Amino acid sequence: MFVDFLYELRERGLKVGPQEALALSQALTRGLHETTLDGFYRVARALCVHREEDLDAFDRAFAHYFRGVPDDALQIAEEVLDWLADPRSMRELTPEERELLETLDLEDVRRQLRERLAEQTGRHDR
Amino acid sequence: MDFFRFRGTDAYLTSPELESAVNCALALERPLLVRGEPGTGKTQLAEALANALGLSLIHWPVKSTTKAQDGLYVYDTVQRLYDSRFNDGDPHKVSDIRRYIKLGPLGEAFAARERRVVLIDEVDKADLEFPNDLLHELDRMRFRIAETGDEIVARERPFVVITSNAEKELPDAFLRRCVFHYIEFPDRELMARIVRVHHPDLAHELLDQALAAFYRLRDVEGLRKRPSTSELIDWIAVLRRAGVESVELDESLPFLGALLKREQDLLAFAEAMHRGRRPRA
Repeated sequence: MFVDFLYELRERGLKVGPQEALALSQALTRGLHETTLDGFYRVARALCVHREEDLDAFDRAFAHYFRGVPDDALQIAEEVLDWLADPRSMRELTPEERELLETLDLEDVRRQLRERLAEQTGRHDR
Repeated sequence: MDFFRFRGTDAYLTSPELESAVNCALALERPLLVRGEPGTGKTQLAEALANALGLSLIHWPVKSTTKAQDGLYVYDTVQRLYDSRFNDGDPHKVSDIRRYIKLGPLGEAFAARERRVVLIDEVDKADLEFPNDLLHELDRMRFRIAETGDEIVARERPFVVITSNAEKELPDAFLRRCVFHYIEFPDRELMARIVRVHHPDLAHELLDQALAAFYRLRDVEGLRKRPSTSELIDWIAVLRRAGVESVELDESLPFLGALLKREQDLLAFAEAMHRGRRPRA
């Protein structure tokens, strides 16, 4: 789902690829999206949009892609981690990025993510 | 994992989008690229950020001749030559090359004991390769002064804010490395708040009329330089000092020169007034 979103952005002319996927996953594992869809929107926008001309296309892609999706950021984060764990996604990364990936212990990241989300006592409103 | 969450300051009004971008840049250790029309507060943002983080700001205003190397250091050969020819004593002074090495903004930030915020202002003014060269130096976080053999290694990674005017081209590799934030031109509501910070006792009616005139003026077709926030604030100051109590957008708009600084824009305005009696909304 997450990777498909990046493909959706590419189709609308945004220059995104494995670099943005990696940046996004780093941001999510650090909780920068504050576990809301709004937060994810803002983080994705800051990392995937590189010029102001692309802002509208990003918004359309986001609205189209996440239409009807429940506001469940945990689901998004889980899917990012699944993608990272999938050996097939290795092929899309550069050697430097693969090295970086190896420094991450994905199980540990998953555990940290669950702990962090369990600490949240309520949903955040915009 | 602990990192600072940027929440803005009293003097600088922020948005959730801005806060997200800043926090991403901080956490991921990437430069923050801020784009917007001239006068949208890009420089002030960097200052507010440094303030909020409790760090000193090093300001690097970029010019058309600026090179990445200038950010590291400059070797003042001219001064050294001057000293060697005209200074009566002290051959020691001249032979100590270190006296003639001046660290640039990045060099200073690397050499500093505490973390600094570096503002690389108006990066679009330099040539197209400049941003890529800059990234290279930022990634290395160290450099060698060839003339002395000294090596400067950054103790603390500076937080880098880069500003660029909208619609200027920048290289892809550079853009993709930065965290992006675009400062929209303030809408009327936000602008009213900004104006009130500068003119706290402004009469409600005059504010409304000035804003209405201002935004419709911005919509006039063919303007080369649309009036921006600072021009609005200056214009209101002039109106108040002149005792003007109400304004309307027509040929008789007072002190128009405070808003439109270019001759061709004044002509475009006159044309628009003449054509439709009202500019296009």
